[in-house]
Amino acid sequence: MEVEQRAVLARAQAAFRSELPRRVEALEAAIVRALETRGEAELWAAYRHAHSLAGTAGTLGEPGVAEACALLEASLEPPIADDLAATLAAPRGTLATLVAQLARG
Amino acid sequence: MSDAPLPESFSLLVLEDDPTLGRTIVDVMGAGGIRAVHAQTIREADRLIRESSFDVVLADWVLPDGDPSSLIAESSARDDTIQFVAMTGQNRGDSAAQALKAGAEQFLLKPLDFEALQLVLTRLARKAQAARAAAASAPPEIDPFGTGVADLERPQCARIARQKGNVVIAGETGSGKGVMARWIHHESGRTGPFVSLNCAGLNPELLESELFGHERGAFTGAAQRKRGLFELARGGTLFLDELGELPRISQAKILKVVEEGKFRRVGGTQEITTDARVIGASHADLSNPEILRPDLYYRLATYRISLRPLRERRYAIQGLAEAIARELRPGIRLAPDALAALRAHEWPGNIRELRNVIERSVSLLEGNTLTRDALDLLSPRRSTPSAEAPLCTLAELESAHIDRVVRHCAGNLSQAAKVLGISRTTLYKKLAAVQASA
Repeated sequence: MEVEQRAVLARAQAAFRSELPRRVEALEAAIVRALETRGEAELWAAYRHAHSLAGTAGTLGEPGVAEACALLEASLEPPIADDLAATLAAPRGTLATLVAQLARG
Repeated sequence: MSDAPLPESFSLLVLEDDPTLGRTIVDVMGAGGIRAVHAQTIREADRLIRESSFDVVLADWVLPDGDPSSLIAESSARDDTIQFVAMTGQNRGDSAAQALKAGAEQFLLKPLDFEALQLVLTRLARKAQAARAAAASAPPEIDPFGTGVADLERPQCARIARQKGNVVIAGETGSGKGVMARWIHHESGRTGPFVSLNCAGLNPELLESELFGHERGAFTGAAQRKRGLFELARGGTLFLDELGELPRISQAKILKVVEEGKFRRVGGTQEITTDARVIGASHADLSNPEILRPDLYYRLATYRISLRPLRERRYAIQGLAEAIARELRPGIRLAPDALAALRAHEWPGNIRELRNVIERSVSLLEGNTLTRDALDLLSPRRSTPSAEAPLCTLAELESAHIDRVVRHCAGNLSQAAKVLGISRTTLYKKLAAVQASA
């Protein structure tokens, strides 16, 4: 990769770090909505949020966030959604905390 | 990190629903000189692939409108030179088999490593470009002489092909000018590639960049050096289609290259030589000085070949239609009423229109017989008659009259024979003689 490419990547990583709190909130909201409605569309939306953030965070230098999101993504597979509802009966904000903790390593 | 050299003119489509990641890949690869475009859905990617030409498509596997397996399979069926790379997260390892089965060349797991990504994309871009170059230099699939399309016979055209001089091909839209150009290149014995450019709709700046190339930084967006078509076609043939659409300013620049065999890339100082043979084609009369400057015309028209429209060689329609239909579905049969309708049609779009009609009809056909009802013919349009018909021989006049009557009878040969006052057998013989003489 050329110097200019590395500079572009560094700028993208910085921009992603500032975007991260909003992304985590959106993920949390999608998961809470999925748990409340138990709807297939909501569950799929939450899964996609987690999947998407896992890939982006890992690629843009946030391995802790990527790992947390990958765990959530695995839990959100439709066949085990009921188990997830049972195990994640946590107050709103827990998921964001979990992600933030993992991000800190 | 290594510095993998990128192939020039490398185009990439990034199909990624996460806008941050998609944009980052596009920006990082763009900074390396790759022309990258971002799509967030399969639908958007499909549209872009149909509208533009991409060397590589990098596609996420989990997308809002499904997985891209159908996109990969269908796009590959249309253009088997496009290379697909699928990517997804670690929890979707099962997707790899699906992606490879659909036709992806490579499967990458996220998180992506940009250096590895660039190496993979570079390798596949080279593969795509090599496949495209091989396809471009291959002989045409249709023999342009099988159906009497040219005003010159095969041996005359073969002699022209072996000369060094430039060629101008005249003919209506869809009459096979590109096929003839490719045939000439194939017969020429030239070892360089066959490179083509459609001049219609290109502004002078873009045209200049395409033909002569540019140096890095020559203008905004010129992130990497690019070789022009005159350079790429060295030792081969440069086919300029729709030459009549060339802007006047570009005509002067092309004339200089054709005369001197030398040019400079945009923003460059080094003189580059080329021995590319130029074949120009147009539906317009290129000898008209208002369309093409006469000095350029005479430089290009060392040899001239005219292609006849399909309506003037109606006897060829059956053979062409059957060949196209069988290429799409082996064993298919064209019913007599369908053949009659095809013979009676005006074909303003010539062979291209015939191919489109057959393709459309065969793709919607249930069963193996294409009848008149299943034939998706657009409403016939009359071609514009020339102001004054050229003088012709008696045989040509007879052929044209038979043609007119057959058309009037909607291809019904029994009825046509009755109108002509000859037996059906005589009519068959006359049609066969016309075909043989062509």
